[in-house]
Amino acid sequence: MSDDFPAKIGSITYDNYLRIKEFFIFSYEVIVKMLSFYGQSHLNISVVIKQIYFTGYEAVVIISILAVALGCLIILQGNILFTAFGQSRWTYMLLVSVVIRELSSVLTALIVIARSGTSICTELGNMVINSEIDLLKSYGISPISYLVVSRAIGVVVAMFTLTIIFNFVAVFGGWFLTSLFYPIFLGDYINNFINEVMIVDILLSVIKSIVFGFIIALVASYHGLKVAKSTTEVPQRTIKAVVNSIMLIMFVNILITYIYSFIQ
Amino acid sequence: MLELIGVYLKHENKYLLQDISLHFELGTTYILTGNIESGKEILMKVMGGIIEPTIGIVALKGHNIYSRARYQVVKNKFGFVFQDGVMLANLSICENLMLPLNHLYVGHDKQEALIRIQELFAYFDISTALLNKRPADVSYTTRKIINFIRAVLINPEIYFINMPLFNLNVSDRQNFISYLQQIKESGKIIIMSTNNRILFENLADRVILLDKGRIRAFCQTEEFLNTKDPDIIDYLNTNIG
Repeated sequence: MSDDFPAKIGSITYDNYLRIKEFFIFSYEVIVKMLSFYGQSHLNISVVIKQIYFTGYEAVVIISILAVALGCLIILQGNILFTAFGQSRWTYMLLVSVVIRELSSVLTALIVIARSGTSICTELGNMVINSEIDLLKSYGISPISYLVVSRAIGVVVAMFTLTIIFNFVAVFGGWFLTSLFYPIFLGDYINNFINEVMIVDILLSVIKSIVFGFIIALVASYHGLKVAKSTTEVPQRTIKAVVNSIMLIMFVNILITYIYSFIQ
Repeated sequence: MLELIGVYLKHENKYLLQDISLHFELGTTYILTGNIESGKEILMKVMGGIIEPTIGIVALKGHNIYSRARYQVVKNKFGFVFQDGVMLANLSICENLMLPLNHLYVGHDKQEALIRIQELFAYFDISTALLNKRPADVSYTTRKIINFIRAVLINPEIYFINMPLFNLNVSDRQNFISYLQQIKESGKIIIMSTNNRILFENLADRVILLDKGRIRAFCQTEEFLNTKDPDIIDYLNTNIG
């Protein structure tokens, strides 16, 4: 082991500490501007609407396909597994705990990262290269208020809506697809599902969707604005944005679920 | 009005600006000049609130422009004209022109602004049909003039103009110079980065010569053009065309 090994470890640790600190300062600025967005002349309403359209509306089809498939698989697997034990009720528990509480927000987040996280990072990165960020700063327009807050609000609204759609389609679309080759009476299905699902399950899903939406917008914007000079940095930053978003979402998901289980 | 006190800018272990202290007064036109890589554009960005210095203060009327309230301090005071005519690519020319107005003067009279834009377009001989086009559809020269018009619209106290005459044709140059003269007469500060002798002789009151990120000279234009310093004479002979 070389003599400078501890120094290298120290240097890497310190660099990472600085990066994390910088990200938290950036997040703090965005949160402050977001909370005071009513009084902001810099908030770009047209960007908010376009972001909701692109992140939300244009992703409805892919989200619905994924939701139907997941709902169908959970119902089928549940019926195969639990009917043998005479516990078909557990299928609905599985549907609530896996789809509503966990996967609806996580899978929606993955789709939103792939579509919108990457596009936000690329767009902002290219704006840096083209000196468009310098232009905003030169006129006293905060790039965080004008570019980041608008996108963050758009992504959060879209994530929230998409997660609700995911849950709805997974439950009812899943039943419809399953019933094509495994007869389940709709009335029984709805009754059993309602017996298992609680408001807190829906609330957990909604909270996760809002938090994940914010994380996606924040990480993508941070990496986009970190592009310095070269166009080759844009794809590199985009990859970092995707990886960091996924890691952060997984970590936060575990944290929220842990808090939920603790409260329960 | 605008003051730089002990400004240093470090990037990747290299000082791009060192020990810059300057004072700019109303009604005065300044020229920033120097060789390639002398730090002209970077200094202009530091003064214009775009790049925060590593050490030192940039103050406008005694307020640090890089303080927490930076966007309030700079608000409607600076008009920045970029060398390559920077505009937001996803907005139309008209939206680009209105951008600072919409954000700095909430509730301003849009109709009045449009009339002013039409007047300025007529002055610079630009077709108003371009207003609905995107920046990518407009030539480099026109984008640069539109950059200037965008700055004029907010009536700032300080104009930062990077390479004002670069790539402009003769008639555009004349229009540009005469409009700059009007701005100068109105008592504003103009800070230009240029190596063009026409601007030295017709507009500049004071010259700042930068060399490797340091101030090599800061003096009256006449003094600069008639200097006996051999290095500056050499610079004038090789760079000022």
